[in-house]
Amino acid sequence: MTSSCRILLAVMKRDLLIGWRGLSDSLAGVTFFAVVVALVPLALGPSPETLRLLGPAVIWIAALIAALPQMERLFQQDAADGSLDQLILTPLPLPVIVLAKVAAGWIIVGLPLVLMTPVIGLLLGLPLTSMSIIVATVAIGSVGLLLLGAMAAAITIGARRGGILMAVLILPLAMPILIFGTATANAASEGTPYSASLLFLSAIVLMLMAVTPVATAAGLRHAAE
Amino acid sequence: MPILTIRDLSAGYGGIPVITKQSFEIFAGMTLILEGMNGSGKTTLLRCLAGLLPPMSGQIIIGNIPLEKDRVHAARKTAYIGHRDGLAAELTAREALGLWAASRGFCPDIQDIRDSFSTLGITQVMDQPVRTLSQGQKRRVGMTRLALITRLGRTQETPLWLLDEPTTAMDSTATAKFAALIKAHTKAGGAAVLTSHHDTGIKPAETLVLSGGQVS
Repeated sequence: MTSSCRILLAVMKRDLLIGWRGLSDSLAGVTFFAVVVALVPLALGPSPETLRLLGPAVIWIAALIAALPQMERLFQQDAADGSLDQLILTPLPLPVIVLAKVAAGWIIVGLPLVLMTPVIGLLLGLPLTSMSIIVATVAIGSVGLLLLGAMAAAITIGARRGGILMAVLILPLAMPILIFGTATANAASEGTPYSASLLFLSAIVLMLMAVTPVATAAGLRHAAE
Repeated sequence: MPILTIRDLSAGYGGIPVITKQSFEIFAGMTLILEGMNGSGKTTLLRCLAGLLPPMSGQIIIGNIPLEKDRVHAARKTAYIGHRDGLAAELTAREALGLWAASRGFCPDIQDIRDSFSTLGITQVMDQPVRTLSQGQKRRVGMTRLALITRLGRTQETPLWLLDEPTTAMDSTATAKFAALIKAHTKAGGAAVLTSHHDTGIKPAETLVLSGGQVS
């Protein structure tokens, strides 16, 4: 294994260990996701047609809202205990380190949401045949959300009311993910072609993967000054 | 060749300089203690040298690498420990050190880790979560990184240690162990720049007194 790989794995392992020891935070996010979705039939009525029609959109909005408070904490602890300095001084380009942290953050924040999606989908009566595509959209889209979340978290380190500021920063930027994510999920649940919107969603996430780590790294450097 | 060269360095925050037009060189085997009142720019200077704070003007050269041109390679040559220890509360002391080492590209085995804790006299807290440690113990755990560099024989790779108030909260025994560690590092061809309000007991050491951004 090359030295760079070892360094990146160490950065990920550290965050995963910390995430594992704070598992209750991650579980709280998933529970919040499930509770928000469970409220929808109470508000809209239990009609299977309505739930099937609105289900994909509900899953997406609930996932976005559930991920927000967790993404806020991506760099908060590191900044508070001085680990951010050590992170910046890691002998690899900072955007690459950011990608490793986002990957660990996705496992802690995004993966539980992805695993919960089929259960939520069944609750909303979404067709089983479309479930794999809906799960795939949440998996791909949540990577994009984490990339945006890391950027906003880096920019808002130390800001008062950082949570609200983060939401204001992320939500407008997350619109393309939301649009193409729900479009893909809707098309899949209606049995119509979905590959174009799925490819658009993937392209957006790949673009975010190329651009946001640089902005996140700049935010972290600024926070450390 | 000097390990660290500073030329006409000015640094500060929000356009207000705290350090103005400083120039000096640090050679292998040298320990430089920065002294001065609160706000005199000791931490500012150290963070600048570590590459955490971009200078307003001037040049920092680590070995033969200009810091502003190649931060990644310059970072390989330095070990910085600031006011805060950079230890995650959820990790055990051993995990924190092991993961830090791996994030620097080092591959210590368990004996290396144990010896590093032993150098600072805190083997007994190795498996305790950082959140349960006292301030002085945390400070010592932070400094085990330096002991590990020495233990792994990486002094030539990481010759420049930048330490901000390293002996804060340490008792006299720990301070003596820390001084011995610095001495071993400089003897092996490394150099250290540190700030302190207390007598660290490190001898011989050069002293620079910063006052309002000036060196006297």
